[in-house]
Amino acid sequence: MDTTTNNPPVLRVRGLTKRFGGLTAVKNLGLEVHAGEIFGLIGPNGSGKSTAMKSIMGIERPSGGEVIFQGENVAGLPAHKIARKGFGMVFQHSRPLNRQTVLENIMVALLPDSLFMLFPDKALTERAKWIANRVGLGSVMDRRPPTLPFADLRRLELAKAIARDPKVVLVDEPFAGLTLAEVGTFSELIRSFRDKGRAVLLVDHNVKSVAALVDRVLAMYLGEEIVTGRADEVMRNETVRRVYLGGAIETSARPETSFKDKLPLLQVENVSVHYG
Amino acid sequence: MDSFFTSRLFFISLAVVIIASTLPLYVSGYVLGLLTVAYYFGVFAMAWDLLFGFAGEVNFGPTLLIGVGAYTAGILNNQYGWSVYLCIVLGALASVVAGVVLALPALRVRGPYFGLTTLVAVLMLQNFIVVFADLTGGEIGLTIPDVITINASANYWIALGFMTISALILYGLSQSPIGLVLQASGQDPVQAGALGFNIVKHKLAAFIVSAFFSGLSGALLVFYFGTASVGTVVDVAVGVNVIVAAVLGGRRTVLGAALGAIFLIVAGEFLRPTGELATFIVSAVALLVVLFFPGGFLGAALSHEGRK
Repeated sequence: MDTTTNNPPVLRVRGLTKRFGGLTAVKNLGLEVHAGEIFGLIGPNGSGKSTAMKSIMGIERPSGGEVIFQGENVAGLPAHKIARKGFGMVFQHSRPLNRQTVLENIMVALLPDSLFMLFPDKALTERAKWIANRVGLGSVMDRRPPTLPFADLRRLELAKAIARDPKVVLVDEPFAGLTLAEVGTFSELIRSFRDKGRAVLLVDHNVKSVAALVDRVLAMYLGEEIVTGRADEVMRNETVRRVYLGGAIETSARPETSFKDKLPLLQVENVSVHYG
Repeated sequence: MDSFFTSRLFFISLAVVIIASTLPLYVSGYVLGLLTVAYYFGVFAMAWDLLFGFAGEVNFGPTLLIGVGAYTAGILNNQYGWSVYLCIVLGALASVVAGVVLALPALRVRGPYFGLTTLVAVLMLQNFIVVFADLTGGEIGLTIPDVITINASANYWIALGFMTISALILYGLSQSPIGLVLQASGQDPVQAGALGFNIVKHKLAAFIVSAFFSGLSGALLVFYFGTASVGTVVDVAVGVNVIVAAVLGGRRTVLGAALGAIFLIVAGEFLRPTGELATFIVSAVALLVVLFFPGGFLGAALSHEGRK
């Protein structure tokens, strides 16, 4: 990572703190993400990683600290201002516009924050089509979101987040609910953001699932940083293993049980649902 | 937008408006009078749908906006004898001011609290009118010296023209990029913010547009009636009717709201011989539609067309 560390970081977070009443969800967090780098923010549920991401994006107002984007402190600005400066966020749960097509959903992300745009620009449609193709939604552009499989809805979220070509992309739990094959495709997409020179910050509770993707990782616990470094270094860290990985990192598959001679409680056969 | 002018919906609407404009040639003045009121009501419902269907804000007090417009216009005419048209414009502007005053604090609260705020605002207006009876005519109602015209056909055409223009503007807005952003803000405010949209700004704009048309329609209505009273333009029950009309016609369709309003008024009149039962029957029909066809009249028709 020598090529990236020599440049000044695109995003620098210093002393970020977020308190909810008496609870300190994020405490004095610091991190730096460079252009063309994927930075992982990991920690068990409730460790404050999502809150940290929301505070960076301006969805939550930070209680203290600095979020410096290209030399400018954006901490405390509302989300829409931070977004316009060059941030895009991929949400874990999506609520797309169900009466509009996939293409129109992407177009919304491209619209200016203006009250006077009465007619959509032709160029916007072209750009939206290009984005749809890029994230793999090319064949379903004219479908409506309720008829799409989950992975395509996630693609739509990615498409919206990168629509305006942000310098910083924040991704909340990129692989939640995806199959192994889909995880592969999504990793490729996120890697392509990096190769385009974007700074990518992703949040996940599972260091293993993002280890192959991230350049550096910050492990959090109870709102505080434990350690920052390459994924394998972080995974080897004693504290990390103890506080949230619960010991060794290994998968333990359940031995297969045979139900051959038993009557199933729920039987599903030949069920199909058609849309459109 | 261009697709709208070639769509079936456009031709149907055009045909309906053309047929409606020929009505004075062969129906009685009584029917015309009924439809005149129904058309103004249609604008109330369309303006409300812009807020609920698109911005996702349930305004339980549409009659605040209507009432302020109606009473401002009425009082100015009654007290100062200003021209009808000036009073109507000022009424609409007063309604916009009331909308902003209500929306600025109300948009800071979410969900049911917003609705509650708007409801309380109506009760306050109602109280104000009753208490300051010298100015407002109180419970008896305000007499308005001037009218636009006493010709039933002319009144009917004014109402139809006003509703058509309002429908074009409101429907056009709802289908424009502004409507898309509004819908996105209503659907998921957090995400719309993260996409770079100033949600409060967009919702406030929607409120202003809604207030303008509600107030304008309210002002036109009192100059048609020649009187303004709490029971016709302010009462919570009137507001509920506006809401029922919009939901009945089809949420998020704008045009459906006008259909719903015309249906409500006409059905209410047809059932008048049943006496007190009329309101009950209309409400029951409305309830059934809301329960079993939540898309409303036009919602069901549009989704059917969309499937083809």
